[in-house]
Amino acid sequence: MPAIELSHVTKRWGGYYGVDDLSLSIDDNAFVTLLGPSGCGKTTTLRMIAGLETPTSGKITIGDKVVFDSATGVNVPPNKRKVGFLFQNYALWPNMTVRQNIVFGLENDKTLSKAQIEERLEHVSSIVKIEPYLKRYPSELSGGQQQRVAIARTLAPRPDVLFMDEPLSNLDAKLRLEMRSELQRLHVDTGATFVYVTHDQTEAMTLATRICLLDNGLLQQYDRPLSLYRDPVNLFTADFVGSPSINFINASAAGSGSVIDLTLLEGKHLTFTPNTPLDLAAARSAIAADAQAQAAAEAERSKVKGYVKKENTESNFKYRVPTVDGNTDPAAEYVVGVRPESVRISEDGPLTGVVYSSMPTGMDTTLRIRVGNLLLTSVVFGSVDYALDEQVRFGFAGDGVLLFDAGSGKQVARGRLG
Amino acid sequence: METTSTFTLAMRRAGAYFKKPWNVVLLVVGVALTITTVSAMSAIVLDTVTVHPGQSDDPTGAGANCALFSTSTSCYTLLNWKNLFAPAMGKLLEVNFLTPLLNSVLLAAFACLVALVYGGIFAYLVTRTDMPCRKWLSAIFIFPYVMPQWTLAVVWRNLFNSAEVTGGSDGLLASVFGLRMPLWWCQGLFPSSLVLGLHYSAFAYIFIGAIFRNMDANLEEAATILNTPRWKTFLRITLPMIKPAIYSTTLLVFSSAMGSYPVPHYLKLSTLTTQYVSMNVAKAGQASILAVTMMLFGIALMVGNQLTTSGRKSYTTVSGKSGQISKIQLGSVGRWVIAGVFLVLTLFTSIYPIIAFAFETFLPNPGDYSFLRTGDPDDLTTKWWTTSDTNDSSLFGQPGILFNPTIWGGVRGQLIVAVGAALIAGTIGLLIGYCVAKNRRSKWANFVNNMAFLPYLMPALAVGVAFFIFGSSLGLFNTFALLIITGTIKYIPFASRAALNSMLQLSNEIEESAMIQGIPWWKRMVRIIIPIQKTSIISGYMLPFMTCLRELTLFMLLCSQTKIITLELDYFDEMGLYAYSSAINLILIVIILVCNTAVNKLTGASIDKGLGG
Repeated sequence: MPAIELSHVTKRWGGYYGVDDLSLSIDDNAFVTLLGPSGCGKTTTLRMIAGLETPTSGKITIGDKVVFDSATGVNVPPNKRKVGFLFQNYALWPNMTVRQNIVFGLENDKTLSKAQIEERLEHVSSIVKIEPYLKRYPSELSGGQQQRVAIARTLAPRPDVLFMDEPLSNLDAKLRLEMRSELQRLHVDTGATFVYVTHDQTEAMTLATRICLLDNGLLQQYDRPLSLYRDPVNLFTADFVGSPSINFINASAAGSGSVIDLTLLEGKHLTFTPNTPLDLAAARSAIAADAQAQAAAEAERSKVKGYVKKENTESNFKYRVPTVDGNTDPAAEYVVGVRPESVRISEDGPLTGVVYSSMPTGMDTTLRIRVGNLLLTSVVFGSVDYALDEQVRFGFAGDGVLLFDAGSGKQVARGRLG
Repeated sequence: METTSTFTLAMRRAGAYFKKPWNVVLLVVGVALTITTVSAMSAIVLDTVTVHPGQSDDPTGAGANCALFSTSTSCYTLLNWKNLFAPAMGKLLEVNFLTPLLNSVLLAAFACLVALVYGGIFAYLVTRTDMPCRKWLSAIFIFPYVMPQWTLAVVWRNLFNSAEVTGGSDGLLASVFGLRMPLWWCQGLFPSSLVLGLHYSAFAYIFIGAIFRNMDANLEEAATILNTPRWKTFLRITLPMIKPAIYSTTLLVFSSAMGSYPVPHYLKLSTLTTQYVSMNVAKAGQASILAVTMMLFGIALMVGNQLTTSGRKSYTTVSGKSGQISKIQLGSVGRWVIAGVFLVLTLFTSIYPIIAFAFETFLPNPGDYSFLRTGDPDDLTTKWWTTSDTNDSSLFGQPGILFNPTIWGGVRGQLIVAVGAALIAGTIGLLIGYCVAKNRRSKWANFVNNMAFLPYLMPALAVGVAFFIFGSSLGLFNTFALLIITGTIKYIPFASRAALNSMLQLSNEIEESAMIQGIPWWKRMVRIIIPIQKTSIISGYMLPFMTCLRELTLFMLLCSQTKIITLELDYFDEMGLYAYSSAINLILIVIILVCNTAVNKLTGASIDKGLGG
């Protein structure tokens, strides 16, 4: 059954690495989203699995069939991979009616009888509710209807794997929400494996059973959505997932075991209690060793014939600490990451700040709190509002506060801060 | 881990490469085009060092000529070069080479200037102002390009010639009004460049107009809001925007004007083309040097095109979304005055020639305009059309135009060539456009594209010479096959450009969505790609067809004079049967206009879409 396996897949144009040494395994019946900022290589990855793009090197397996292997020269054309592909701009054939668009691919399958084709057409058009439009041309349909036709056309040949390239990005906000829930139903109803490309993290969070987060061609983290949110492995993941964004606070640390002293927010002292005891020095040297091993592996790779140096390295993620005057906060050894909902306003909070801005939506209120020159974001649930420049006391709730190594960006520990 | 031998690996990779149909097409077409074009071009070069049988200015014996190198069958020498550049008589260099070269360059340069100014102003007026009758004017503005390029030259000659100034019979103005224009006005550089410029102004209009039409008016409006004077907006914003169109017009007009034979021939200007023709018989080797010179200009233009197209990319954002183009108000009087001026000009260049040619066929004798003075229908005759008396000495035994087998045979020949060349060039061009669009990053695809593009900027006569020498060596002289091959090679660029432009507009996903459903290549082409882009694809077929229908320069060396109708013009002119050549021009124009209108009405394809700006 179609579990999809990518091993060491690389795609480069000259020295530009679109996808850099990506290994990924997608379970049967999963709903995986490829997530990342634009240009991170997610669409390229999808197109390589579908066979529309040829990888520079690596191996791709769909089910138990190797569809691409640079070492043995295997390259199965896209039509033989038995996949469906839903394109961003729908790619409906404008010269054919809705009905012809759906049936065209089916007629090509010699094993299907006329009656079977009719039955498929009826079935898929009822799933996406487009029966009234079968005689129309794509240009006579609204964006949402075109989208449904594209889905119907993709579903008609009953592919085991369905690829979708930002299928909702051309729809308006309301329709997008509606289609999102329909896609979720579709996944369950068809039982197919879905691979879905998006740059919208909410879409990824809400739809996927697993998210593959990419940046600059490199795999950052491959995990369930909530794990990605709660336990990001590095600063990039922490920053990319979640809206409003996570708070980053520069800090310096001392101590070991389960009591670590953090100096942060312009000289304030707080105690960080890691969920599992932590040896700071050991953690740091482990990170350094890791970096060294990676450099050695890279050096090894560079000896292989045909190696091209990666040119697009300087666009690696750099975290940013928001400040009032727009200047950068001087870098420190560690970065503390706190989700906005963990910045809790309370009478007995250990810290004080001033309300910089307050944006109530009715369901919750997003606050920006100013501490000296630094800004923190907090989400307060319920219908509350704050006066600007009002003084508030606040603290950090829960055991989900994250501690990162600033240099490498790697997560060191999760714990409480108080 | 299975181990795979290098050979199997290479075979599998090649297999994957050739599984993509566009790779196969590119390889086949690329190799075929390269062989044809390169061998034809090198044939001319080789011809310049070949000893030609019966070379009249060859004082020494054949054995002494093989100074360069020799093979068992022919021998090669630098004698032709020496004879041209260091002739025994000093004046010959000037007459045979320097004057024609200078005239050719001047003619091409002035033609560019006329085309750009006239076509550019017209494009601006049509697209950006509230001039009335825009639609109608723009329809007839491209007539001169659709018609044979010598149309206006012949009209000019028939209008202004006079027995006193130019010799021969009086033209219309001289015989009716006694108006005698000076010689520089009647023939030579001035009328030649004017006529060619007017003929090619359609290019300028189509290229520049396309940019004006797509240009985001916000660009200019932004400047207006910043309180920039209108002239400054025009100079600093509008003009730089149309720069790419100016470049492409210049390149195309320059090479076309340079390769034009009939216009300087009718207006008696000595250029490389006319000089080539006059030297071709007695001094074939030296004539080939003239052809090589023209070819070098073509290559230089090609390089220039490469340089400017790399800069052209930066203008691709021009096709903006703003549909609101604010029209410039010309004033209630001004707009009608300007429209009137262009109406008169376009009537003269587009409608008048048709009337004039028709009128000429009813004159009892060439230049006998007595009907215009007397208004007596007896001063006209229909004998040129209807006579079947082959003993009439004034007709040299030729039956009337309507029954003349030579003329209608020529029309048939021209149609065969045009249809053949259009079908092949259109199909190859379509394939090239499609494959290059599919393979934009590949160097080979770019090479094939450039190879197909090369003849575009080659002067027509040089291409004709190349295929004359190439075809003769293959024994193809005076066959339709040679004419069709030549027409195909010369006009593939029209088709490939039109196809490439339309393919680039077509999102790749349209085809990929069919590919993933396992629809085979031919079916994708026939059911999806071609139906969607049918208008521009038909334009790709139509352009070579129209151009071949009225092509003279390219074919004149390749067959006998009675094979195709355009070549019969000179045939009848030499007999003094000017009514016949007028009739031929009329027949050609009517056929072309009928075809053009029919295709346009039936499919919506049109010349300007094919050139695609």
